[in-house]
Amino acid sequence: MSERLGESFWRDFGNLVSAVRRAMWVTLVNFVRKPVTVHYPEVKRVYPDRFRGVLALTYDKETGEENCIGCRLCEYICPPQVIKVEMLKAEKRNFAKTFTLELYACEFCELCVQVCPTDAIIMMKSFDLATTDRRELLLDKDRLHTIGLQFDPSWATGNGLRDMQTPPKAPPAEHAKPEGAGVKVEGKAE
Amino acid sequence: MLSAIYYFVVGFIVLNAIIGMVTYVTLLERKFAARMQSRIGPYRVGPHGLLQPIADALKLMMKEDVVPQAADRPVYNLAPLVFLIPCMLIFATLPFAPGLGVADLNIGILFFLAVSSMEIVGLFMAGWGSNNKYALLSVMRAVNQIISYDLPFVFAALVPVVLTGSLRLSDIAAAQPDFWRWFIFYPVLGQLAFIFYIVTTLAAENRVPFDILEAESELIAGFRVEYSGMKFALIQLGEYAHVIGTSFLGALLFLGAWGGPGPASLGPLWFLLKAMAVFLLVTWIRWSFVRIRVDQILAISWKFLLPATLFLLMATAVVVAAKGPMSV
Repeated sequence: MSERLGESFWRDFGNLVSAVRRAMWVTLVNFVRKPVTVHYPEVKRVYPDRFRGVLALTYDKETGEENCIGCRLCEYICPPQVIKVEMLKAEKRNFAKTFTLELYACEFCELCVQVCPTDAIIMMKSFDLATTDRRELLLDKDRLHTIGLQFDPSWATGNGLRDMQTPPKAPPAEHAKPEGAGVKVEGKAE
Repeated sequence: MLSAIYYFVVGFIVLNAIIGMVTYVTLLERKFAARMQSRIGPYRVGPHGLLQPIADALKLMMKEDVVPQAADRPVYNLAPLVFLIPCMLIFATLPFAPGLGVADLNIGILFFLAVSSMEIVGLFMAGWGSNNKYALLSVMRAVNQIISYDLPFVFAALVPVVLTGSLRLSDIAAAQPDFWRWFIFYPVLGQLAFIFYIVTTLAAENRVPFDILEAESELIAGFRVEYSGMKFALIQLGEYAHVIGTSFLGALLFLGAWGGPGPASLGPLWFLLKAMAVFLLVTWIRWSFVRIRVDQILAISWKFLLPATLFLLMATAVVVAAKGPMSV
């Protein structure tokens, strides 16, 4: 009996010493390492390609026309129902007469971006949305346009996402894989 | 009369120096702790957060002083002071350089140990006066723990005393004049005594891993749940003063106090650096470990630390009897 007690004491003692060594080593390693903190307002970290930030409307760069055709798909799919669109009928194509987005209730689910057939609504790489007046978060067409010019767009657009999710037509054709970020995301999903 | 004025002036200077040091030691600890977690710590107030302690102090001074309705008012109001005064008194016998200190008593270390364990009175008053079950539970644990750990603490601190053969702190410091004669380098005895000293001071200061009395997950903040504003600040001040005091004592007992390269006028600086090294060691331990259970704490004290330190003290006595004390 006494032998077993002594044995367990030294084993416990050894465990204690090794635990102390490991615990203090972890903190020491962290101490000599560079802090991971990003000084946010001064330094902005690189946002990932699929960053889901503030929403914006895209405009055609050459003609200056809006890409939105007022199809109201985003309005229908929006879970918190913050998007309101009115369609303006025209000869060649339709436009959005009004487009309002209540950003204060938006949950940034990206569904509106995924359904948009013309890549008109996209997400930007920014979350600087804090404001002292919630009316500033009621975005109309003009404000959505300025936001689109202000920040970098995320990679994901409606057509880009659909291309990515479509299964390849010819299964063994490995050289025909889509390029760029689509490959990365596809690899992750597998 | 003249000596009274002298002691008053010196005491005033030391007291204010301690208070100033405590405020900046909190910043040191926060920065150090932040780096251990790969953070930066206070950064925004002043360059690299250097004015953060002042901002904190101002904030605490301007806070409302809330007294619970059911509190025992005299006890509640008196407790922070009763807690703070022993924590400040421990600096009375500390010499910061040869002849530089408030009072170099011939029983200096005895005074230090006796006064530093008196803080439990203020602690218990705080917990009892708050009339809060968490605070009361917390101080019950604190009394339990401090009674358990004072004995091994004293035994560990007595090893250098036995080695020196004097209770006077300046004699103990003078007995370790060179680097290799620091008591931490005394074969076996010194290292063991230093480890025991650090462990027991952790418990005596109620710091992690022995911080069951302010266990956030079960007791909110322990005995200072009901304190706010300046009373809270006084309690914090006392706690940090106690930690710094024991760090200074550790540096004096084991690390050769003011000895170091350079002229003798640099002595206080070396002493301060060594004390901060001990403080950082304690902080390092604090941020490395988890809190241990009440029964584990008591078991460590009574079943291991107390016999071990007692044996160590006896071994030291035998060595000294055989070789004679390390006189100056």
